[in-house]
Amino acid sequence: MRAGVLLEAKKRTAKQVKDWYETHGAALAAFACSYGLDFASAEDVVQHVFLNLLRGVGADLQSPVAYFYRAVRNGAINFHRVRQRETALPEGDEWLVSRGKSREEILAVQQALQHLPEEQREVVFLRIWSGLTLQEIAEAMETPLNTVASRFRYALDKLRERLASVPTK
Amino acid sequence: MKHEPEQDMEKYLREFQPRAVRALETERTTEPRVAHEVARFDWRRLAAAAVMLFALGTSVWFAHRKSAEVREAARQQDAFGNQIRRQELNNWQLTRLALSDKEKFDEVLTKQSRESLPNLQGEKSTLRVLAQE
Repeated sequence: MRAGVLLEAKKRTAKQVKDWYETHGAALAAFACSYGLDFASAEDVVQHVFLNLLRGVGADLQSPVAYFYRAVRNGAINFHRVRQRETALPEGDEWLVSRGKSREEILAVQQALQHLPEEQREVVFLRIWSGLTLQEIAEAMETPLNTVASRFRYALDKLRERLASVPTK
Repeated sequence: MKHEPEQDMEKYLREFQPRAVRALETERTTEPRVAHEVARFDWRRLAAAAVMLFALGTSVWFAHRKSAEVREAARQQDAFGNQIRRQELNNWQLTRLALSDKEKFDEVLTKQSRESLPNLQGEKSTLRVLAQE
């Protein structure tokens, strides 16, 4: 298993890592922000994960996207630990963008996402912004499909409840 | 089959996109990568240096040993030569000389015979003295 992972790491090219970064970097930075990091710090955490990949660090790339999310989550938590900060997002820092949506609406969605339990939030990010199917998420997280589907459904319910009072455009 | 409110919420969320991130700063990897390579090369160089040092040491030791042997042989040869010059050879040494250097052996024998046998040449030779008598 370990030898296979090392072989995989050797095969990994810089181009492949860059492609992954371009595809998932933004979603991962937003995911890091959902742990209370400001956007610049979230970018640093994501960069760190991908730069480590370029150096050959990082394992279990049988499910690269799941690995990215786990690494960014750990990076975000460590970031807080090192900085000895509470998870208070600097007010007004937007890590989601949407054409035609008001700033309040964007911040409301961000806040609603931040209030989701970790597992549900991860499923939402993987499904909505990393483009994985529920089946792929289940495989990546090594979790039964039904559990993943339930998490996603609960997350959407909670988001709908929280955002019900937000005026939408 | 998804419920409609779920589909609506999913569709709504898709109206938002994560903020773009800056490009991956790959040049940052250069330094640690180089350091990593250097560290790896250091081990290789160290191993190569150790092997070379060992080979050099062995060859020097062999050369020294060989020259010591040569010196010892030369010393023995010199000692033997001195003995020959001084005509202090015993039977064993004479046999050895006969086998290794015939000319020298003849020379030594001639010299020794002159010292041990009656002198038959020159004005005061034994033969001449006997003839006068």
